[in-house]
Amino acid sequence: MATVDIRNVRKAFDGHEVIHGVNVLIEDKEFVVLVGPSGCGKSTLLRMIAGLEEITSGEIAIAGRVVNNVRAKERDIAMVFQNYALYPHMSVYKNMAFSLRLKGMDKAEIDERVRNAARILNLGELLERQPRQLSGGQRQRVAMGRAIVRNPKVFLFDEPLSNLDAKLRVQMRTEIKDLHLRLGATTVYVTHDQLEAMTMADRIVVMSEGNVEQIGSPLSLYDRPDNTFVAGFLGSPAMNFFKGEVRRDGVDAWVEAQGLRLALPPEAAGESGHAVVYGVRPEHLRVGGEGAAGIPCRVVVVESTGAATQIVAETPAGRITAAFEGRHALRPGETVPLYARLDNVHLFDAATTKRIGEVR
Amino acid sequence: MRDNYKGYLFILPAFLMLLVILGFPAVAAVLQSFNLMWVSKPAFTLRAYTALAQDPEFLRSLSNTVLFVVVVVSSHLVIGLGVALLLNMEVRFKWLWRVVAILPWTMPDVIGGLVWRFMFDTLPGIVNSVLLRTGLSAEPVDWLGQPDLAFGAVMLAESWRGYPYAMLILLAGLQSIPRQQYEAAELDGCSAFQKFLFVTVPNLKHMFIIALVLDTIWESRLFGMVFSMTGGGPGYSTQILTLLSYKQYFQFFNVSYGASMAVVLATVLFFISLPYLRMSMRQQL
Repeated sequence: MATVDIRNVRKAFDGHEVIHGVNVLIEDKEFVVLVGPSGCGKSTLLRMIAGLEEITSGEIAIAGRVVNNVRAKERDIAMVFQNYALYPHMSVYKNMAFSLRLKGMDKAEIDERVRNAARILNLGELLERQPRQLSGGQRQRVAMGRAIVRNPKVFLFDEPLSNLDAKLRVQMRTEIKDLHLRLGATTVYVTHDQLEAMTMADRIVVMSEGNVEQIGSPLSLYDRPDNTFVAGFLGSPAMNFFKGEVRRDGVDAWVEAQGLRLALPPEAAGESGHAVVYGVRPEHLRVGGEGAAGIPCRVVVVESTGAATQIVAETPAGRITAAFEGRHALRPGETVPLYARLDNVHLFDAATTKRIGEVR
Repeated sequence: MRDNYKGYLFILPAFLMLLVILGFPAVAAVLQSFNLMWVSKPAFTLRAYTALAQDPEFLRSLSNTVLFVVVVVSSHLVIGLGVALLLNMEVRFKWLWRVVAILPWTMPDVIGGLVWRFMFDTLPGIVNSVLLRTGLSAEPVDWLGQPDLAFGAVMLAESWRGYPYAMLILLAGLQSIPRQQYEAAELDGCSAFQKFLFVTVPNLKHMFIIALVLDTIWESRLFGMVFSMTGGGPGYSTQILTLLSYKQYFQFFNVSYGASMAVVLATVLFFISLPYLRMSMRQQL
């Protein structure tokens, strides 16, 4: 059972605390993604799990054993780095065999493990090549091979796809996820890319400024973000926010935001006059609808990718982004009302930025 | 096509400067060595070169130079690597240590030679003074008056003065090694020494060759330090090629003979620099 238990972990550099008491329990065989903007502490947390960074206070336990004072090489973990960190003077084979050789494993077993990992990663043809003769994607696969041969309890990935081009990134994303399903090893994966987090994770840990903002499955975070940070960070294009006040008149409820009347479902929480942030995702807006008046918009930009159309429009309360499936005949300069799907509207307290009750 | 010409026009001033400053003396030295320039009756001859091969003073200077370069460059690389490793660590006042470490190199070699000459002086020199006071020696040692000691003293002085050059090159090399490689090695189970062996050494190889070649060229051409410290003496014991060439050319006015030594030295250095040239060409490709 290779769980990773992070208990009230803090990290300070020169007295300046950058991680403020993080608690995460990563289950056996789980694929957990730590995501957040740069400087949020996700890589530092991963490096503390790896043993490359000291833990200022709190505990980290791997497979039930507290590893605070256990050296990196004795933690039974393997790590894949952003810039691959291959040994430039060793062939692919030697790179993968290196840690096993250091352990004093016999040659036949090393050979079997390396060839097995090479088969899993389609590296068979490249074993005698030097790292400089490989493409970025191939290097990343060698870095993963180096991790696989050790048969570790936990795999750690530190932004492994950041140096790859967009197309290769999508391909490697699938490969890593596929690898995890086949090997079934506990995996902790750090990225700043919310799309990687959404597509790869069993559970996502969203971090900001050294704190955990929310932990949950990708869709639960997407559907029910705890605060405006998580709501704005996950999802692309990002959620639209409007600051305003709740208004009620009989069964009608709406948010009044700089002259805009933003419709709420009647059962929405929040007293009349409550200062709130009204959030709606671009994909939950549509042109035309029934009931309350829509948000009057003047289209500024129309971006069509063929499969979807995205528009940026001007409203009295600022810019808004909307995304529609398929193609739309909207043109810049055109004025249209946009309607939010009421069951997909999010409401946050303006002061605390926390989610308010159940909107739907 | 017109644009190409413009390009050449831009490099013309630099090219002319190089031609005058570097090209002319080099060509002049070659011509003089063949008795074709600045002599009363120019006539092509290899006499200077045949004489060189039979001149015991030249052969002695050549072997002095080889020994000097081998010892001094080796010590530069060893000291340079050691200091570079220390300066690459996370320590307080790092900038201060770096400034201190580089100081010897900022000293002009003639001045350095004079300072060391005073330090090795028989009577007031600090070296003897320390030896006498600590009782390590009963009487003053004539460091620069005995052939073997003088050669050792000169090599020691130049080892001190020139190591920062190798150190700077190796420090730049150390700093370009990605930290993640050390971390990967740590996770792979490397000890500190194994990290040095499997990460530092292979990554530093290119810079090491650069430092080796450039320092060899530099030390082979050394003049001021030895000239001001011993003048080549006692006897011929510290006479290196540059000193002999200078003596023949400027003191005895054996222009052709002096120039031929410079040509021999330049040719040897050219071949020594080939691995460096090949390496830098390969990096550009």
